[in-house]
Amino acid sequence: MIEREVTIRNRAGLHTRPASRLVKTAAQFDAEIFLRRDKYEVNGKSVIGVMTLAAEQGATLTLVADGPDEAAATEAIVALFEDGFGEEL
Amino acid sequence: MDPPPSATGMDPASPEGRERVLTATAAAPGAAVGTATQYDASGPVVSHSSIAPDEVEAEIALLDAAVARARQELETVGALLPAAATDEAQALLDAQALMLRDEEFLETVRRRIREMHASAGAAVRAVLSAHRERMGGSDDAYLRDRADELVALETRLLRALRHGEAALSIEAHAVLIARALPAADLLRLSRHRLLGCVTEEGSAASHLAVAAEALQIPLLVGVPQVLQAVPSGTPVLVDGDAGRLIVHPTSHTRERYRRRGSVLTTAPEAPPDGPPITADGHAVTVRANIGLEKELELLAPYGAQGIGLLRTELYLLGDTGLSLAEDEQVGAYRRALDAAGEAGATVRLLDVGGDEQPPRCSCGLRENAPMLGARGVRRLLDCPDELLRPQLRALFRARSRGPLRVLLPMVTDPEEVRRVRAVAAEEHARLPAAVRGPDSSLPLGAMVEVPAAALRADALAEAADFLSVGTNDLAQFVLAVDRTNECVAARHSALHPAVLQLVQRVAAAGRAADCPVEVCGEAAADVEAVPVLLGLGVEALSVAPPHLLRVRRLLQAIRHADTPALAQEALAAPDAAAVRAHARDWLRAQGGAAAALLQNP
Repeated sequence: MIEREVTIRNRAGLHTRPASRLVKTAAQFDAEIFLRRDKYEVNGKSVIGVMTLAAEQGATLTLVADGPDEAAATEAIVALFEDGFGEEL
Repeated sequence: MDPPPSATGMDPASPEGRERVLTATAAAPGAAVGTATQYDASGPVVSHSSIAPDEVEAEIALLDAAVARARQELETVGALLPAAATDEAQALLDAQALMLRDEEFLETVRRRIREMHASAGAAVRAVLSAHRERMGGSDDAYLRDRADELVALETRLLRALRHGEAALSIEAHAVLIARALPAADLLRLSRHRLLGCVTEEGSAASHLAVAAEALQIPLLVGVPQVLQAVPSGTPVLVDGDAGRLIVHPTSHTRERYRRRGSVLTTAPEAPPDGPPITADGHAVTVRANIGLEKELELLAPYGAQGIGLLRTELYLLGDTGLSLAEDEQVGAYRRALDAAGEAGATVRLLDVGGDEQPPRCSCGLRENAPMLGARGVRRLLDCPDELLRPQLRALFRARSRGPLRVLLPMVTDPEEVRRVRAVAAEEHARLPAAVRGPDSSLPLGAMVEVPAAALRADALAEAADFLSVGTNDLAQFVLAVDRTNECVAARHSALHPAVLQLVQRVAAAGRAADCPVEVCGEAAADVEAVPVLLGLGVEALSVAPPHLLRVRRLLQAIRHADTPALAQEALAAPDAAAVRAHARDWLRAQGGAAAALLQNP
């Protein structure tokens, strides 16, 4: 299991389009993916769950990946956050 | 129509004195007696909140079917999204599709059904409102938008659930009472022995009207406050010929209708003999307008000379929206060509948009005046890959079955015809030689509905292989009358002299360019309008199958040589009412057989 801190960099926060990209990326891996904000944890493969994180710009989340391809999954998802989901930073 | 005996015997006749007559616009012919059943097409309504323990599996199956329906609906909306739609609209659609595949969410809903015996609707609502609550209270605008998307998801799912439920809960012999009714809902509900249909909104020129006529379900539209006036369970009589809704009909009234019988909805014993011809030996082509596959079987018994207008946006409409898959389209066109025989079929390309939009997603672009918006050939050329190219490919693949013509809806300029012709040539070239046939040219016609097209008919006749005047829309645009607006709908008439002037212009341009001109609007089936149209130079008509016999009888009763004089009178008349008066006088002068066809002699 890998845990990693990620920060929302894009201005609009984790809104619909980033949430969709995140979920689509997570779905490519066998590993279970979770995102935690404070004590609230959601399944990273559930778009409705990710939306309810209510994560605005600057918010810090904990990414948890657990499974055979957890390293690759973590890398791919962290890259999305660092890139600000391809949106305006 | 004779009401089925079981229907009349079902509910006791109301006591004398309670009978009330509401006037309405008759939108599909026939008469029926039944029990009023209110139907809410829009949802979202959760009709019951809990289920019995032994209903759990059935309820989960209901949920899964609704999710599948909602996904299908989204795919249709996506395919119809104009090319000009923003990435944002596309992203919102994507997100809705992802939500419908969110197994975590769906499993939570299923668990609620299984463990708490909640109904599917109540479970969806409970799970989503818990999520919304989490996001609510935030003053972040982005978050509030996301809460809106959950509302959209809830509406979509509840509506899909409601469709399944509604069909199950409609009792036989029901007369549906609704504020508005999508044509797709009528198709679904008609399997439950629906006797009649009454809507508060809507017009006689809608998909619903075409569908109701095809299914032989009498339809009344434009009945104000009908939901308040006619609660579920009320015995009613629907008269789709005269435009009357009779609430609590007395036994006397029922008997009167039973005796009247019907001429329109019964197929003739034997198809009429020979081609339609006027009393003085002038042949007029009379084809059929087809909206539903079921109508194909009427072509032969009613003596249609092929299909003059196949409305594909209706013909391809299934339970879950338009079936646009290419292979399915090929099969559908083959069946139409087989039924049309050697007379052939005229297939109109998809006319989506206008007031007959398929269910629109809550986040789709909104047009302020959809009738003037991205519909018809505009929409086809806007998104050629989604709509135009697959449809043309399917038509090329199907056409070995019989003579095929293709009609373009809502044409404004000749250039639009040329562009579609170029796309057709490209698609033909891409198909394997074995399936496409040697000839790359498809006879391509233009609908004349836009005044600009009629005014420049000479240029259009050069670009197109035939012209088909859609008098309903043409009159609507020429007279600036929205037929769905009850306040002005009565001003709509294809017999207005201004509309007739344009028809004359189109007919003359067609003759000069050797480009056939036909009329496929309601005017083609209007006893008072047909002689005027013939006098203006129209050579072919296309009408709904139930009207074919009346039009034939009319032609047999009139002399073609007398029609130009009537047309001249009509063009000089001050208004549509005066044209009708002239036409009625003219028909009476043609003799008893013609006069007998007048609606109110």
